[in-house]
Amino acid sequence: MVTIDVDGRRYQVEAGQNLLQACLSLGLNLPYFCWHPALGSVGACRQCAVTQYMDADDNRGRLAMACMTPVSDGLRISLQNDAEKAFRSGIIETLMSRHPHDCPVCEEGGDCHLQDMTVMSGHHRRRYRGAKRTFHNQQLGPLVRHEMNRCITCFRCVRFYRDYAGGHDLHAMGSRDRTYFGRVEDGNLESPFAGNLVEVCPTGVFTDKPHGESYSRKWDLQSAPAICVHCSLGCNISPGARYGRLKRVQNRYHPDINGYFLCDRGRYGFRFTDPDRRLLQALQRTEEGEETLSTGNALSRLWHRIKQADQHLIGIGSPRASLEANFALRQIVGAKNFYAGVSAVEDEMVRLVLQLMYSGVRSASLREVEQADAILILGEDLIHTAPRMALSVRQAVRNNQRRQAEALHIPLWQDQAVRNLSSIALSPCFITSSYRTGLDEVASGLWRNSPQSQTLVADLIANKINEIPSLSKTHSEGMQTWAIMVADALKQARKPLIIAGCSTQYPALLAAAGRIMTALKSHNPAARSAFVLPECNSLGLALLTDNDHENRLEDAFDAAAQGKNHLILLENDLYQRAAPQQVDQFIGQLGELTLLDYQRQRTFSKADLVLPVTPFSESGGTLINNEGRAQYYFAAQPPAPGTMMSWHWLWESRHEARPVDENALHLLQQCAASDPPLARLTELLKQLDLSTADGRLGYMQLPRKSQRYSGRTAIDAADDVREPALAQDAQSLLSFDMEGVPPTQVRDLQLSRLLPMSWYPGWNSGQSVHKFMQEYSDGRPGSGVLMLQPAADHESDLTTLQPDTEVQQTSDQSLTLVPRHYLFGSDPLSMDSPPVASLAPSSCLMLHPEDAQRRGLNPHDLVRLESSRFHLELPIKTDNTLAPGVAAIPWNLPDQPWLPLPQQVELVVVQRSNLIARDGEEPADG
Amino acid sequence: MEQPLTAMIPSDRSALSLAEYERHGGYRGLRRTLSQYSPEDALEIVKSSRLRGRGGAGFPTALKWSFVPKEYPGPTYLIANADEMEPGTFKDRLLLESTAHQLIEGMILAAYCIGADTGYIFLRGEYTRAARNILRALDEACEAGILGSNILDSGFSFDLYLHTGAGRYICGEETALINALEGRRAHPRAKPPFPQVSGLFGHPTVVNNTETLCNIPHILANGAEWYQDLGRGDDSGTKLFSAAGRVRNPGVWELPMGTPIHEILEDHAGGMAEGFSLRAFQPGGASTDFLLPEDLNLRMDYDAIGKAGSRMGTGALIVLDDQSCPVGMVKNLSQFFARESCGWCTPCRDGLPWMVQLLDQIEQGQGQMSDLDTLAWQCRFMGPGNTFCALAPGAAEPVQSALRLFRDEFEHHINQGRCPYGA
Repeated sequence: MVTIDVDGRRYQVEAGQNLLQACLSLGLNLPYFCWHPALGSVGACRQCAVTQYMDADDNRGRLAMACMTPVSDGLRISLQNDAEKAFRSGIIETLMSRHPHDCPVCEEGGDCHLQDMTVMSGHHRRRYRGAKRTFHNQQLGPLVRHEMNRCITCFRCVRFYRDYAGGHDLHAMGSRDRTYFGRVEDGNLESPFAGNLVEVCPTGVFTDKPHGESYSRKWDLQSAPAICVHCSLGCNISPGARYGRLKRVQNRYHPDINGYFLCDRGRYGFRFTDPDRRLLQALQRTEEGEETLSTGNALSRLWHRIKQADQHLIGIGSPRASLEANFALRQIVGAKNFYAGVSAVEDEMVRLVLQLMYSGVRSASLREVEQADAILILGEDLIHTAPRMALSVRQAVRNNQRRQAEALHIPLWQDQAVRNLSSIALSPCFITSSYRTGLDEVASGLWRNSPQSQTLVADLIANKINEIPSLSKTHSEGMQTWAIMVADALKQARKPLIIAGCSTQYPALLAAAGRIMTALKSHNPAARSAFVLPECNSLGLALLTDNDHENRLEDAFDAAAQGKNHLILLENDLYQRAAPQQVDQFIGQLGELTLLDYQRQRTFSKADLVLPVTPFSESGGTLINNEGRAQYYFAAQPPAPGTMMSWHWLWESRHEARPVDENALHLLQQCAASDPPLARLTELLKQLDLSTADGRLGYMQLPRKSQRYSGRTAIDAADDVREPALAQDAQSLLSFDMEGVPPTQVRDLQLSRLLPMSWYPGWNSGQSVHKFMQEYSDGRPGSGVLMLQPAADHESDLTTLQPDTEVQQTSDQSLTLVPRHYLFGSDPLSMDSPPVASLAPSSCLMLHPEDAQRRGLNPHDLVRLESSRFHLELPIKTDNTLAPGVAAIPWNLPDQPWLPLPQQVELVVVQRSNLIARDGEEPADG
Repeated sequence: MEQPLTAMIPSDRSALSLAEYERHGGYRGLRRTLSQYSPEDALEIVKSSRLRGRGGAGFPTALKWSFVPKEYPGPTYLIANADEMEPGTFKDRLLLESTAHQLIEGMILAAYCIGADTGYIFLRGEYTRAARNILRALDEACEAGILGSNILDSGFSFDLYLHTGAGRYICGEETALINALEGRRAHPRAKPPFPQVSGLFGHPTVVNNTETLCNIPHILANGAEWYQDLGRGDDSGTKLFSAAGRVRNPGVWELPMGTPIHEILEDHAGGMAEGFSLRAFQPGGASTDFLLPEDLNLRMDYDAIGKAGSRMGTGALIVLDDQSCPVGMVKNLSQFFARESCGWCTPCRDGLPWMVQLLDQIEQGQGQMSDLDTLAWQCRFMGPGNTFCALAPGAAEPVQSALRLFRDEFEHHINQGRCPYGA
């Protein structure tokens, strides 16, 4: 700690940071543009000028840019004297000489850092009388809108897009006052993190396009602290709703997970919650036809079904439903009749992850991922399976550079200076995959081969770390060399990290990864592992089914065959979990199929009782992320008329269709008490309990609406002149109202991380987030509770983890068909969101051009895939980034049947393509 | 009068071949240094010569070199800044077009002093004649064993490359030059870290002006004392001075440091052209404050000119006569600087076009009296330290001194609603 003097007051601040960071951390208002907490300082905008004095006697001082000035003991500055105030106001005036002043029609208005800083700097009268410069705006695709005239040339967009996120297609072009930020030509922004431009841009150059199409001002949005449901990482989001629908999703800072950034699936995938895309009406199907039901009727039908079914009742849970919803169903049907709603392979893999975590393999937060100095990624194309983790890996590979910067006494916040150490090699990062991954360009070594080969090399790495000699004829010399290189790098690293997951659908590879993790753990206690799981609550569901009962999906199929034929299916599409014939057969054996869901998915048409439930935007609940962190999410708005949260349907029916006054937290309490592995949920309850938060909140709730929210009582007047009663959320920390504890009074750090949105007086935009941190660099843990503590009795279990790694080669003609994941495509929820769906690939079979040539196949030829387990017809697409001998198919597209992959397949031509060339298509060799 | 840098240049300004250069004593300094001096000794000689950088700032050359870390494990770079692009400055061009070997020798010696193994000549793209001559000289030097590995069997090796710029004034700023050389946008870099610690590709780098480097062979061949004695005033050595504007004989001359300005104007430039008289002049190029005829007795020394309120800069005199509009002249200069702003920092990128807009309005007779206050405020606003690099403060210098010295001219424009000079 050092002491600095600001406007005659002395403050203790953390050493090593810059003055701007220090001032903001102290809660002082100092305007800035080009600086960003995650992007560091570059000193371009000159907005954060302060006067710095030599000593106590100096009363003139000189202007200094706070963001470029390191704090030092005895540093004396002023923020409020005329010299620096006039300069800061001059900077704004100069910027404004170029800005169109179009706030009333700008989507950024009310959420605009430029507006806030203009007001803060005091500039209000314009002296500039000349013309303004204008630019051409580009079509940047369905996600981000471009309006270059508003640009103040802070360079943040390219610094984020290129430097931080590794994008290639957004440039700073031209120079002087004609500097242009855009693509070389119109076209979709390619980076999976492009949506962050909306928040990174301090004004309205890059705005949220889908939000703009159905727009509300920030102050008119009703928001909530929520958790993203589109992958297993559990990024914190702040969804904003109005007129009964979500309008946008923005990042919500979490120090250990997403920090300041989201991926585009998370930001734009929410439109599946639109009322017009959802099930809003309870209905019953009989032989006579379809009948809509009132909520009361639907509840009593459900109650009768449960009562009548008795011993024949089974329930299938869901990895995308909350812990509460799954727990409620398990209570209704009984633990031995509750089945995991995931495929057998996924079930096996998630259980393996659980087992590894219990055995003491330390699972890394994304913050820890960023600290790793050697990384091995096994079989995961992170950009598509855990995108935000890919962004963290990108930061981690620069740790070598940071170490060199420290040796040269360059502070790490000096962003350009650190990046200028361009001759320093990246930290080691190795990737095994069947095809090119989004991180290959920062990798120091690649093993591009079939999952079987990846498993062999992974096993070899584990043996090398354990110093077990392993000579086998299946291990080629190249494989041996590669394994030694990786093992050495991992052993030499201070903080090695292994990343593995379930997206290969190949348990043997995950098991081999587990052996590396275990070997490394005994070698270096600082070693970490990061797992990529299939869905947002995969781990939560696994914890609820982690008992002695046989409760895999296939066990449910068996149970039905044995007469347990009354199914309650929770937020799940069985056709996404097993082969169509298998599901058809299962459903055929059922007497009754009750579905609780919000999506019109494939199983929906087979259900005979459908209860419309709420998606995350209208629910509260707990999800357990890939790290084992239980996090609670709050509803942004009350349930749409006719819908209820899943657990609410189940609970009310259990109470014989009488309304219950139980709330979500009671349910969570029961859940915590039910199984020992869930006991730590009581810690989460403490973070959420209004009664223990009373001291912090003064018996008031946090408002979901801003103080300026307009039309609270008149918003629905066009439909109904009666003033509706406001929705209540009595036991929760949050109210559906405008009144409550203002954000200025939220001093408690844990609580401030549950703010519905980031707003502070004078700081209307998301940049206000610093008002709710004590230090930008603060190392305090974020909200949520880590559930999985190593258990002593699990230590030995790993020895039993020896799935077979035999390479199955049925014939020379066969190919290994693997699943290929797509950021936009492989997540069925976000595929119901038009902006995401418009960017998804179409179904095809990808082949290496050599493999295609060898079989006399051309792009667009229709082929039939033949394996022992399925037949499927698909058009060919050649792709030279695939490993030879491997064929890939987009995973989990909504119109594609579930396939057991990886699988050996042979191809039969069904129809030759007569297409010679298609407009805009790459040549045949990819 | 000794003219070590330019005496060898033939009157037709043709380029000297290696043989011709050696005939004029070329590579004598190199041979002597490599055989007699350690790098530390050589650096010491340059230090006692009191050579100051000729690019404009006048920073002591040996001091700049001394910041390069000793025993650095990676490569160390030396860069010749030959991106001469300021309006009215054309001194390096003479050296580059005729005496490329002098620059090469200077660079080898500088590299020897700082332990650099690779060098680049960053040449203004439009200097195509210089580019041809440098390439030929590099070939000759390599072939003769003067350049490359194990130079003159000394064990010292140095590779030198020519890089031609794509035409931005900002590339004359040493850190913007480094960025451009790396293939990045030519924005200046923040200092610290200084290029000597982390420069090209993050390695120690020294950037010197062409003329500065051309002095080194002579200092090491003839000694520090000889060099100091060349100067007539406080500073050592000679300097290339030039004169532009309505003088009888515009040109560039190598003269002792400390030569009085009137001598340059009268004896070398031949005085004002017929029918014109001197109103004011910029002593050191387009980015320096105007001085008045009463300052003609000043010596061309870094400190003497500084005391008079301007800068010696590149030593390029630009003359403003009595029949040209001062407002038009500063507008013209400001247009150049506004056009050449790299766009990185606000006061320069958006302040300079605003300044041009005001000057343009005034020049066209559409100005307001309050515009003069705005202009004066802008000059303070983009003062040294307020901007990211020295471009905008340099651009403000002629404007601020014009406002002070020719205030009535500005007021005439505004009051008469037109340019009194008929522009």
